[in-house]
Amino acid sequence: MDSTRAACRTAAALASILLMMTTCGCWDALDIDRRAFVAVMGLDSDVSGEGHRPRVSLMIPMPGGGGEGGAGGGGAGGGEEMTAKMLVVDETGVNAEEAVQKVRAMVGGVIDFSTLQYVVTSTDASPDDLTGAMHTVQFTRFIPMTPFMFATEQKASDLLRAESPSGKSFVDTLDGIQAQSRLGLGHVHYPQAWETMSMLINKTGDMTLTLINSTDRGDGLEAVGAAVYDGAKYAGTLAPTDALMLQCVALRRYSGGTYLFRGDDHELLIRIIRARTKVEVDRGNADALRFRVSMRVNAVLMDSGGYRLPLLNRKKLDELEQVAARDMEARLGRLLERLQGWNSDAMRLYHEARVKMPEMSCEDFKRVYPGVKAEFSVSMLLVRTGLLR
Amino acid sequence: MREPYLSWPEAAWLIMQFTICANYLFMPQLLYSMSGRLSWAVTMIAVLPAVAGVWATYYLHARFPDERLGQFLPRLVGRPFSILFGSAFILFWLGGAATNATVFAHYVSDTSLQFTPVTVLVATNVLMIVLVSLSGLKTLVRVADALLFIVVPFLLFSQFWPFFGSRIDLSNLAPMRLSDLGADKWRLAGAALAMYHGYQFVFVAGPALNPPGRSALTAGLVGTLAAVPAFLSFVAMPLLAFGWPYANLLTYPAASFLEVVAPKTGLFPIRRFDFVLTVLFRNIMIIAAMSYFYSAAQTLSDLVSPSARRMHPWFVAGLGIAVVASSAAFKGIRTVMQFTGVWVLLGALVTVLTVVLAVVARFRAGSAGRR
Repeated sequence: MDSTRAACRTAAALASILLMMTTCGCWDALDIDRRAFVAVMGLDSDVSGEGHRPRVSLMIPMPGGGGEGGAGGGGAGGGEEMTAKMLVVDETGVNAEEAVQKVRAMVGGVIDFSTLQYVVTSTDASPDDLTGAMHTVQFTRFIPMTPFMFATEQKASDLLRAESPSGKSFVDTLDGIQAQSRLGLGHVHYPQAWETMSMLINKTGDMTLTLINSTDRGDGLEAVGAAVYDGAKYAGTLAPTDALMLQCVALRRYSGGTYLFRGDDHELLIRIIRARTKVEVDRGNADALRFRVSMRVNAVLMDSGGYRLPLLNRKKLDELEQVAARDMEARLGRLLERLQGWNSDAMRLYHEARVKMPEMSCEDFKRVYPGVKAEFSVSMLLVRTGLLR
Repeated sequence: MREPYLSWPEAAWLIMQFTICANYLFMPQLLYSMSGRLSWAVTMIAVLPAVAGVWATYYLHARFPDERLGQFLPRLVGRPFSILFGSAFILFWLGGAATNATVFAHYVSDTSLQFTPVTVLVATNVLMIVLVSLSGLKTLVRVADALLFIVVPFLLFSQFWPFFGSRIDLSNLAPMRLSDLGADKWRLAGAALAMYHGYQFVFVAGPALNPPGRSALTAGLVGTLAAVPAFLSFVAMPLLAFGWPYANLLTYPAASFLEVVAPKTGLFPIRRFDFVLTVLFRNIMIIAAMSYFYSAAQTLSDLVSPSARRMHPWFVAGLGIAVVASSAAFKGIRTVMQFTGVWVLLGALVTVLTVVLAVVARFRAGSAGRR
C-alpha cells in the first residue's frame, strides 16, 4: 500500500515538473511563415505644413523571396542563387506607433519586432521624433531592448534600400563594419537602444552614434564618422579619428582602432589594443569646473610605410610613445572645444560631475559647460609589431 | 503519525524559493516607488524583522512540534481569535498565490506569448499548483528538491554574470540620500516587514521536519539569508545597469536587466537568453505559488476540520478555480501592482502576528502540548 502511494507521488512529482516545462501557454500557434520579422527600423522626420512627423521604415527579410516594393539584399553564395529578399516599407504618422499601425495594414502576416537588430536614425530626425520613437521601442511590448543604434546623414528609408554588391545582407554588412572596426579606424561602436535611452532619460551625458552612409556610388555602406548629440538634437559630425578618441573617453574603456600621427619625420600608424580612461573633477567653483582626463593606452606600432625599428632598442619607441601621446592630448583638447561649441557633452564629463556635485543638475552643468576646462593626460605603452623577416 | 521526511536543507531550499517567488517581477518597482535609488538598502534592513519572524516561528514550532498553524491556533488564542488571525494568514497566502501566478502570466504575455489570453496563462500555472497540492506536502517538497540542480546554476549565473558583462556602473547608485528612505516610510516599513516571509512555511511543514525543533530555526535562518543576495541583486542590479530614473520607468526592471546583460546567443530559437532564464524562474514562481496555495488551503482546512487527515480534493480544486477567477479581476499589470502594494501590507501584519503569537505562547504555558 505504502509502495503504491510512493509510486503515485513520484509519478505526480514527475508529471508536475513535466507540466512546468511544457505548459507555457501557447494559444494560437501562429506559424513562422505567417510572421514578418523586422530586422532593421529606420527613423526620419518629414517636414510639411503641419510641422514635422516621424517616418518609420521597416526592413523585413523575406526568406522565401518574392519581396515587392523593396530592395534586394540577396546575393550568391557557394554557386547557389540566394532567394532571400528584403522588403522595405515606410510610413509616416502622428507618432511612431501610428506609422507602424499603417505599415501593419500594408504587410501581410503579423509584424514581429522580436528580431529587431538595428535602429537607424537620420541626423535630420527632430529631437521630439527621435525621443518619441525611442520611447516606443523601449516601452512597447515584444520589442527587445537590445537592438544596436546608429545614425545616417541620408534618409533612413533610403539607406535601408541600399544594396550590397557582395551579396551580403544589410544586417551582415553592419555586423561586418563593426567587427572590422578594431582593425581599421576603430570609430565604429553601436550602442544598444537601452543605452541610448539611458543617456536620454538619466541625462548623464550626451550620446554619440556611429554614422553610416551609403557609398557615393550607392553600391554599399560605409562608416564615415560619428554623429554627436546635444540631448536628442543632432549637434555635429566627427571624422573617424576624432570619433575614435571620443569613444575612448566617452566609454572609458574601449577596444581601440588605428591612429595616425607624425613622428620621426614619417606618417606613422599605431594600433590601439586597449584604452582605459579615468575622468576626475575638481570640487570647487561650480562656474569654472576643471576636469582631469587620464587615458592609458596600450598600442602597437605598425610597420607602416617601410618604417621599421630595431627589435631590441626601445629608445626610439619611447620617443614615439611620447610623440603619439602628446598628439592625442592635443587632439582631445581640440575635440573638447568643438563639442563645447556644439553644447554636446559627448565625452560624458557630467557623468563624473553628478557624483561629486549631486546638487548640480544636467541643465546646470550645460549652462557652465562652454567654460569647462579639461586637462588631458595620455600615457602610452607602445610596442613594436612583427618579426624581423 | 507518519515518519517526518523533511530535512533542514530541503526546508531551507523551499523557504528560499517561497521567499524569492515572483518577487523579482514586482518587488523592485514597488521599492523604487517608495524609496527611490536607495531601495537596495531596504533588502538588507528587512533582514532584522525577518530574523525576529524566524525566531518567533521557531518558538511556536518548538511549542507545537506536531501541529500546523490551523491546529494550534484555536488552543493558543481561542476560537474567535483563531479565525481572525488565521484569516489574515490565509488571505496573505492566497494573495501570494494569486499575485505570483498572475504577475508571471502578465510578464509572459507582455514579452513572448502575445496572443495567449492572460487568464489561460494563469490557469496553466494554477493547474500545476492544484495538482501538487492535491498530491500533498511531500510531493511539493520533492518537486522543490528536483528543481535544485535545474534552478540554482541559473540563479547563481544571473547574479554573478553581470559583473563580468561590463554593463554595471556603480556610480548609478550615487548620490545616496538617507532621506529617500523617509519619503514613504510607513509603506516602506510594511514592505521591509513582509519581504522575507518564507519561514512561515514552517507553520505548515513543521510536523514533517526531521528532526523537529532546532532544524526549524536552522532552515528558517539559512533559507532567509540565502534569499537576501537574490533580493539585493533583483533590486540593485537594474539600478546599476539602467541608472536612475530610467530603472524606475521599466515595468519589470529585474527582467529587463536579465535581457540586457544576457550573453548573446544568436541561435534561434534560443535567441534571447533571458527567455531561458524566464522559463527557469517560472519554476521558482510555481514552487512559491504552490507553497502559498498549499499553506492557505491546509490552514483553512485545519481551522474548519482540525482532525481531517487530508484536504478534500474538491475543496482544493475549488480554491484553485477561485484563484483563477480572482486573477481575472486584474486588468493589466498596473492593477496587479496596486494589489501587491496592499498585499505587502498584509504581509507586514502577518509578520507582526507571528511575533505576537510567539509572545502569547510564551505567557500561556498551558496551551502547549498535544491535543
